[in-house]
Amino acid sequence: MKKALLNALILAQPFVVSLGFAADDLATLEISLAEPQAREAYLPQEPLRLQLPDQIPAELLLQLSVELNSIDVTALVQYDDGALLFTPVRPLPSGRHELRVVGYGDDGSVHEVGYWLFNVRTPGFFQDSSLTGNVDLSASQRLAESSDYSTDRATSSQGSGSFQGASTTDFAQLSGRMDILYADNSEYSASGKALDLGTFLATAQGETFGANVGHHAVASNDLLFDGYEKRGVSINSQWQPMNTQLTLFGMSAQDRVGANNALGLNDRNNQYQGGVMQTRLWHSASHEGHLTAGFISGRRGDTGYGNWQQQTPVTEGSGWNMALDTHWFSRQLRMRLERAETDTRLLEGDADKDADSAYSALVMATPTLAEGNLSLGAEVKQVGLAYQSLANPFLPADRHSKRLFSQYATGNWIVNASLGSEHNNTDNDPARSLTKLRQARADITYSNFYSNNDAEIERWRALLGSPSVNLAVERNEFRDARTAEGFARQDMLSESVSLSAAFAASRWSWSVGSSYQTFDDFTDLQSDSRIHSVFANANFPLGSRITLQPGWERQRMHNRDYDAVSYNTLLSLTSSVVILPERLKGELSFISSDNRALNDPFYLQDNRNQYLTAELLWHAKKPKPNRFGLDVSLSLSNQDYRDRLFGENNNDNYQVFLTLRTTLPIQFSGVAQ
Amino acid sequence: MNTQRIFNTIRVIIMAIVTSISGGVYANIDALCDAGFNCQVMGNAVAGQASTVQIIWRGSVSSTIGSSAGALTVNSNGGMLLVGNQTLQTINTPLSQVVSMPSSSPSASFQIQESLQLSANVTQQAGNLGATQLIYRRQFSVPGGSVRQGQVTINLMSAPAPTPVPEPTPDPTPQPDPQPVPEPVPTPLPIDSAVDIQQMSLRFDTGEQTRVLQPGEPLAAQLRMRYQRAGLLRAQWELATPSSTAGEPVFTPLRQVQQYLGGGQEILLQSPPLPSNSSGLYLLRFVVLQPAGIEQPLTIRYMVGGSADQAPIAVRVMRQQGPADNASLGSATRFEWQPLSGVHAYQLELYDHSAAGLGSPALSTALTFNSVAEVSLPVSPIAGLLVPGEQSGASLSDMTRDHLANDNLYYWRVLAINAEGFIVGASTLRAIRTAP
Repeated sequence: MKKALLNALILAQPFVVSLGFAADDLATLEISLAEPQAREAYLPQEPLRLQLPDQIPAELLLQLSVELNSIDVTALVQYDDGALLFTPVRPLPSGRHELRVVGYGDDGSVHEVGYWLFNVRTPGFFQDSSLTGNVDLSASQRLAESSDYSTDRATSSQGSGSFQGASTTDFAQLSGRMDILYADNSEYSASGKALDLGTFLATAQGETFGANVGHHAVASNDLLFDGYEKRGVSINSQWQPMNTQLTLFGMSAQDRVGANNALGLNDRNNQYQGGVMQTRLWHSASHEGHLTAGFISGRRGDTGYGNWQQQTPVTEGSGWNMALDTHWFSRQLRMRLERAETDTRLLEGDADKDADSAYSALVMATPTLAEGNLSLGAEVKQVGLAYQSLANPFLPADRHSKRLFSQYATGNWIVNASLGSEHNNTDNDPARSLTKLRQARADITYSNFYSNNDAEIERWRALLGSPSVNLAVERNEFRDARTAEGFARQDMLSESVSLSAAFAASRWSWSVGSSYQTFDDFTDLQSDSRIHSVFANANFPLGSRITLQPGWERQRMHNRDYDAVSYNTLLSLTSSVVILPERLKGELSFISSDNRALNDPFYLQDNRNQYLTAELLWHAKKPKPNRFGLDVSLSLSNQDYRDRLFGENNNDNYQVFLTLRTTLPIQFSGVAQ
Repeated sequence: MNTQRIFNTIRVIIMAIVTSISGGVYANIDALCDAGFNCQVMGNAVAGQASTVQIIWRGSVSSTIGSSAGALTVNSNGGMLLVGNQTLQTINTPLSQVVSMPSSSPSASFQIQESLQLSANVTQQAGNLGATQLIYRRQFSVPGGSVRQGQVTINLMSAPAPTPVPEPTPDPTPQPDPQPVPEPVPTPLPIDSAVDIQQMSLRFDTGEQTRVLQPGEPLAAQLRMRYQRAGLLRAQWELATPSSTAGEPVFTPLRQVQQYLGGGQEILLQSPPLPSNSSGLYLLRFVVLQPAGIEQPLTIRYMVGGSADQAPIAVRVMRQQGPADNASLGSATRFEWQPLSGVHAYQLELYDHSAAGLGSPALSTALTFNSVAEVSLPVSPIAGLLVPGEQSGASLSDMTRDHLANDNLYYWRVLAINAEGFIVGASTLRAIRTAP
């Protein structure tokens, strides 16, 4: 950006460029801040103009740095008619602000050339308010279709809305966001209704108290919580003197969409209540300790939208956890301990409560090295057979695991390695098998995104792009240490190695990769097999108006027990063409999927599926903030399926639509511009 | 074999003469699941588990010359699943195939593929009967012809752990007569996959399950799966784009997944980047092909609306690419992050560790950036750097370093700001140490 500044300066004042000037010039340089338009105070995004002295040498100018509220903004400062001009990238809040100009001499000397305090004024009770959003509505007319796609619905409509607002009052910071999705064909909606309420959240946060309503996470991922956002209501209170925060909540236990049960608290069989307390026990530059404790109680049944589970019995119960997270020795050592217990029962059937516990212990070291960054860690975790948190349904139970992991990063290289072992049957019940897993992983990545002085490397970079190459290996042994009577024995080994390379330049990129996986079941319950995968894809422009994205992947699977080989190939080509800039553009996408498994014992198939989609889009009226825009598009989709084994399955279908779409962007900054 | 064909041909000719005299059309299924037309079963059933087996029915049909439009339709209205002579289940799924009759020959072969799904109840019932094989019978017919029955044998395997297989109970009653020696039970063939999927959850990489986004905004999805045992997973990411969702959604494959699950009980699968260049409704689904039994794919949806030129309205979580958490700050340390589209400037911010509230794990890890309020921290940065939106990385300037003390801990993050001054992306906090 400084080069750009220099160029601008040379163009503007070619006569002032001179090669010789004294570093002392910095000390005598006089720069002034122009007065605000409103006299008494600046507006939140009013440009700040620093008037330079006449005939300032360009080299001297390049040694200046500009800082606003301790942020170095030099990279976005422009030269404008004998002045340095900076327009704040975000509206400045009301109050006093600090502007500084510093010169760095060639000899290492530092000179503060100028320093100003100035005021920004935002009128009104709601300060720094903003409301942004977008409403989008489309109507489609079916122009043509093949018989298989014929339907009574000649027209359809869809739409979406997304809104976000924020405001600051004297008491709290308010904010909210909401997504709305609309499809008149309710089969395609998430909740089965034409209008879906998607993700939403309203937040009020003051110095001491805060409240959240909608999708949010009340705790990070641990043994009790999965860390995912859920619908619910929470309030929090912060006691700064005690460095403590308490959050009380009522949350839905399932993933929900739609306007029904919007708060997630109407379904008695799918909600939990509780609290989380977080406190900082000690804190310095060298060490730090946090204690977190949580409690939940409620019921959970079906896990909801976007989820599938084998069984969905309603479970009720409670659980708690406590975690101590500490950093020591200039934070080079981290130790974390967590303990959790749950006590749950099925609502129907087995009415007995089942209590169990889980724990985890983590030690991680990040020693300071002369070169590079190293981290080493070890973790032990056990989750009991009957442990079942209502707020963490995906945590596998009956599992004891240990792992060692490390990462070393230096220059352009990053190396990761980990070893793990785990077993089930944490109760050591002789009536159940004891199965052990041993896992080893390692990968190494080389990336070189930034130019250096090596001409050879730069030549390759110009030719191929900046590289990122990764090699990864993995091995999993899964076998019974003890097979219980009446159970099938388990003894399996899977291994994999993969190599991928991605290259990126400013306007194009490409990548290739290959992997080889092996699987052996020494009990012969499952087939032994090998999978070899390769892929290649790219993204590059043809001239200034055409972009192409070709992709290809192929998988070969060899079932050794049946000596059967199957192939899956996926070929794709997506292109976009700007026909009239900002007015007319076209998109064309072709995908071909070819599956050939002529002697596969489980999935006999020999078919080819080709898809073609095309769209011609005309921006009839470009949307602007708070003004409607209008797009007209003509789209086609075609699917051609050819079954080379069973010809009666063949089909070739198409549909063509004309769509009108209107868009209304909403933007309100809430401050006088 | 040849004798059989000669016999069939003679029979057809005779019947043709008879039917032509009587003015009718004769058609018949001459062979079905015999030595010449071997019916094939692929896959095994597992006792107590829902199982899917593929069956290919093979046979031949014949007709008099001049049969309707040179084609015959082979039909089967249903079949039965048996153990010995005991019927376990009646199958009512019809099968049908049109067979083209060549002009040069009165007969033609056919094959019909069937995917037979066996419920866990049926396989458990068969297992309780001590069966190692299931008999599957189907009746086939052609219009105006006779009915012919075909039969295949499906191997039934014991369930692997954890379902206990009951030990055969010795019969206490004395055997009055020596029983005929049973035929040796064939060794069961290996099954396709023993992986037992228990739970799946599909969501976008931002943690949401519905999204409304701007054209060109990057998006991907994640599938979290909990399973037992180990084995092969075959699945496919599929997407229906706005060019079809205004009518009949056409799902196109995005990526095939063939992966061995190594027994770790849980896995996180990442989708390929999802397109967002066209406005409208997108349906994303994850289809499990193997192990069998999960018929309904998981589907989530997103909508692209508005114009690419306008400000994105949601604050996206940005990924930091370096330096690592708690790394040491050196003279060459470069701060890097995942770039976002439509960004005017990035603001790299550094906070002192002792700033109130920053040390709280709740603040540093639970920032989900659903609102501006959550992006706002209770303290101001001690230093920072403004970077043009075309860059996705920067080293600290001398001016920024002047604010940092030696041997101290700082937190850093990146904000993405669009041309209208709105925050459109933010990263979480990472720690970085300065040298002593």
